[in-house]
Amino acid sequence: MINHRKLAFWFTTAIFFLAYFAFFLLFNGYHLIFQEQTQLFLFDKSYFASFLLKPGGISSYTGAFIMQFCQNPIAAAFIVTVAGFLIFLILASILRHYGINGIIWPIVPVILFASLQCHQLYSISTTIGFLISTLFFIIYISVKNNRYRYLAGSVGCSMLCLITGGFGLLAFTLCIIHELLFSGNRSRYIAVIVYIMLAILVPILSSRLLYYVKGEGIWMSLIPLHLKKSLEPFVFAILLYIPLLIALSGFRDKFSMKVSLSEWNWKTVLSGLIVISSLSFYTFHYVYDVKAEALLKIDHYVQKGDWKKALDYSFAYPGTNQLVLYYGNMAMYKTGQMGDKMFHLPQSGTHGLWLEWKRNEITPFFGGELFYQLGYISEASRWAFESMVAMGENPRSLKRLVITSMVTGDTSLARHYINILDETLFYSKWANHYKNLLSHPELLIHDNEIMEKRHFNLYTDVFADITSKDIGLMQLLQDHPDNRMAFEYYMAQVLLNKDIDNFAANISKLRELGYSRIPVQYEEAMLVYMKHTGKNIVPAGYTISRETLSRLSGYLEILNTYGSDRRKSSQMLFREYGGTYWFYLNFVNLPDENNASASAKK
Amino acid sequence: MRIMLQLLQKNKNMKTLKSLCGTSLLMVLFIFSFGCSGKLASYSEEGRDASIFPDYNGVTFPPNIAPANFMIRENADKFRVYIHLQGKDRISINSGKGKVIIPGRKWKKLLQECRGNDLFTEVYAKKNGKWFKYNTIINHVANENIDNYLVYRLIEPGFETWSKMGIYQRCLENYSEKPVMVNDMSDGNCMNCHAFCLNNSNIMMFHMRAQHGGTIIYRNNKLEKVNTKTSSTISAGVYPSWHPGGSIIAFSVNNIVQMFHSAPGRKIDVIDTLSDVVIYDTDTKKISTCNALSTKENLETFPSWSPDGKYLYYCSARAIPLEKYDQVRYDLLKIAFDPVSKQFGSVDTVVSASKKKLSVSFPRVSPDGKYLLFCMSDYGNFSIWHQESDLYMKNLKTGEITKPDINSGQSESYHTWSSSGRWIVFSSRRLDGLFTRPFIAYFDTSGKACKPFILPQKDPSFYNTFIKSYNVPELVTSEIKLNPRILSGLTDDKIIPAAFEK
Repeated sequence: MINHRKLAFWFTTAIFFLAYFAFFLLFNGYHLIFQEQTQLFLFDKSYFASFLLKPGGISSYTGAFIMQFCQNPIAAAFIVTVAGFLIFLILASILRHYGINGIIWPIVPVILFASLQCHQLYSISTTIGFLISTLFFIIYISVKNNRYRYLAGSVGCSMLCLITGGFGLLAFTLCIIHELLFSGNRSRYIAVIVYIMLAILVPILSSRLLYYVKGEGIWMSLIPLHLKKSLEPFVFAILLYIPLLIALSGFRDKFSMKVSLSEWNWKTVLSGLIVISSLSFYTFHYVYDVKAEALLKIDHYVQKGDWKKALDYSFAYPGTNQLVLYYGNMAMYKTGQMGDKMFHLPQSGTHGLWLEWKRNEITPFFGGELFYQLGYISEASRWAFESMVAMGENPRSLKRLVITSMVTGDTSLARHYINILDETLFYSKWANHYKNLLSHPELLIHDNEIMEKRHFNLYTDVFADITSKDIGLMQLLQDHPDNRMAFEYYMAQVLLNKDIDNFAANISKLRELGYSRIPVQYEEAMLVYMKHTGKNIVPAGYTISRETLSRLSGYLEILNTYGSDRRKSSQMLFREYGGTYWFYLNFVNLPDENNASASAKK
Repeated sequence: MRIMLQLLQKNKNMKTLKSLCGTSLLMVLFIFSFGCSGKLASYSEEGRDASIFPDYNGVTFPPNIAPANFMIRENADKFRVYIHLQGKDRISINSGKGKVIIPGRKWKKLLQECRGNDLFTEVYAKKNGKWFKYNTIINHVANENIDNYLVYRLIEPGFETWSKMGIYQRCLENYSEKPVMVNDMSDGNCMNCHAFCLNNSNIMMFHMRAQHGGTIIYRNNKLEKVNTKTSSTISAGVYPSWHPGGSIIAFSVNNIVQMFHSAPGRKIDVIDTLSDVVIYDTDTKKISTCNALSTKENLETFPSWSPDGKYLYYCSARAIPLEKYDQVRYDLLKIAFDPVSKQFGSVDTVVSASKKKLSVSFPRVSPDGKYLLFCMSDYGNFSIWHQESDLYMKNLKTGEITKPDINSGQSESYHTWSSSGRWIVFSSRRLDGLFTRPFIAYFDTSGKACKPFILPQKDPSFYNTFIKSYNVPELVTSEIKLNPRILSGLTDDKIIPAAFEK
């Protein structure tokens, strides 16, 4: 006979986790792929040993092992869903033990974990720590013999402080609540005192004898309080939810309270739906970062070299973001549209062309890409190395370091980085390909990427500008006048700085770089220059297109109509001419200009 | 299977059967082990050296060094290695993949027996069922021990960024590595320039930077944190040297600029725009200098005391504009010092390198005062980023300068003498051009250096993937009695300000 209640339970569960999977697949997949890119799991003893230096090391190691499989959104969503499902199963089992049978109760923490997982810096190691601790608690409550249970509790929870960090304290708390409210044994109070003492002593002693940690690290290892302030309530909710629920159940039984924690009726279903929907809505609306996901999606396509998609998603990005603009400009060049459509992106000065050097985890991780694409190999290598130092060994930086070392002919160094990648599951094939190239240098001529970068290697030794005001584009061009990307970036730099004189001085390079026509936005800038100076700077053999000339007439007509009313004319022009250089020149303030006007107001 | 089990269960002579099985197993194990360690009956000579890593071939080992495990980089089905003293018992090791892990106790015993003699390593490889023997590796075991501990900072050889770093002590008799201080315990700050007084681990110092900034001084079992920056000096103390008396530390004070090259071959240049030398008296907490050590027209740096404490060696270059950074070349000078009055005397030139378009850095005098070891590169003073930097030695009696046969095509830089003067440890980037590794070399009484070898690790492939550099290797005679828990207590301690004495 079919148990309808059970069927409803599993049916609802299946629906929930399908939705859970879909959420992570459709809305959060690139967060998870990004996490995979920021770590590197090595099959190496010293790598494992490095995890044992802090409480919760085993959980962190397991988390790192699992994260390496997040190679694409489907795998990533699947892994997170499995983790969520395991949380659900374990908590459902624990709660059932205390007579709390409704589906809603174990689902709440799953949603709380999903909220944390939405943050790009959340580590799945936290989930692993929680899973291990709660799994241990199932074992604990299943031991009927008091002596064995106390022994298991003392040893197990102490071990959990080492294996799961802060979640060891959660296990202690659960055991204490269980003994106080559900055990009739006389010696339970002694056990509780022992548990409390161990909960205090184990972290302290381990920090004195085993680990080099201090302060918060002694007690809160693996507890993700570093993500962002708005997520802290979620973290505390996860830690308190199960202990409070079990305690409530205990008080209910003890004091015959009329609290319904189990019935499967329209009230519980409705309230369950309300709780799940509210939590999901709150998570999606206030915690989930749609912009971060969009940015990480662009980053993913840049890494894959799918520049068209990277550009499409840059245009689709909701709002403005320096990193998106930076990738958008790069994708614009890569798809051959920089000279034609660059001002279709929300430009404002050169800060969207490259990232200003900052000593943190993020800037070198993303910012080195431009130098690599430009062929500025020493800078690409420097930024990749800095990223590896700041973030820890990660596949992106190491792969970049392999290539840059091969470009500069540092084969021993390339081999060193290859050796590291060779100890991974997913990058050893890549590593072996380059190892083979190192063993057979004659094959290198077939590697277009390395050969192209070698061609653009700088031979004039200059120092990198660490202020990032000038990234050396002119030097790249002087050493290699055929470096078309350096040329377009240089022209973009001067146009964005409204430096028309330098733009005009370099427009003649179009011919030697093999342009078949003048890019549209160069035409726009040339018209401005020629109008102001009366000099003809159209290179021989090129003409300014009729479309551009006619567009200029239209632009000037509107501009003249509204005369001195800048605000009105900018509004009217934006719709049709917002993507022209003329509009940028007339109406977009450079960051310095903004600062100047702000200080003038002060 | 079930029938067999039933038969066994029914067998009344079960005990006999068990004993028979056990004996047979023991015999198999015995034969197997004999077969493994016994001499190979037949093999062919390969007629060449086996390719091994690290290169422990033709080197001189200290008799107290940890087992020098290595990898055989040859294609074969399996390997067998015998390590022995001529005509004596040997260590036998089998390896499937070529990793040769030497048993610690046997190695220790063998090295003790081998003091002053050659140590032979025979490498055999089995290919297609046949054994081949490579040329025997002959190493030498010196009579003199090396100091027990090597202290170094582990940090990625980055440009500006650092993450985790620490100062560690490694017992050279085994593989035990313990942290002295790690920045996990001091909010991720930078720390550097650890220094000892005459290889004595009970008198040491190092700098903490950033939010917990200060110079940590450990002496007479007391720890203190000192602010060595005064209004009269360029900066807080940078490159240190302990006076052998144990109470004075000479520091350079520098204004340092870092620049990143664009063309392949060079990565970084670290340049001093201002630089003087001062001394800090740990008893009076006073900093002083003299005119010769703090000239405006010259850059003085890398102070280093002679073992008798009567001279302070230092490097000096003419201060020229930053744009001409590649023309800044340091000579090696020494200034007389009276340890009683703590007054400086006259200056002498020890190595006039700039005339030969070379530049000196890191002078260190041997404990017997006979030899001076230093680095020379094309310009500047931050030799670790100079691929051409090599170690040179000056015989202080004869004045002869030689280039010991321990250099490579990559940078050789920071170096330390053992307390006996028979060993040196120096930094080298010879493996890959970037990651600095500690190399150990024997110096015989005639001043001749033997072929260096890399600090042995338990896993011989360790250096292939390790991405931290070994900075400032310093030999000490015993374990440092400090650890990060003790030192982290100092992070928030009150800092003692040093006063400048005119």
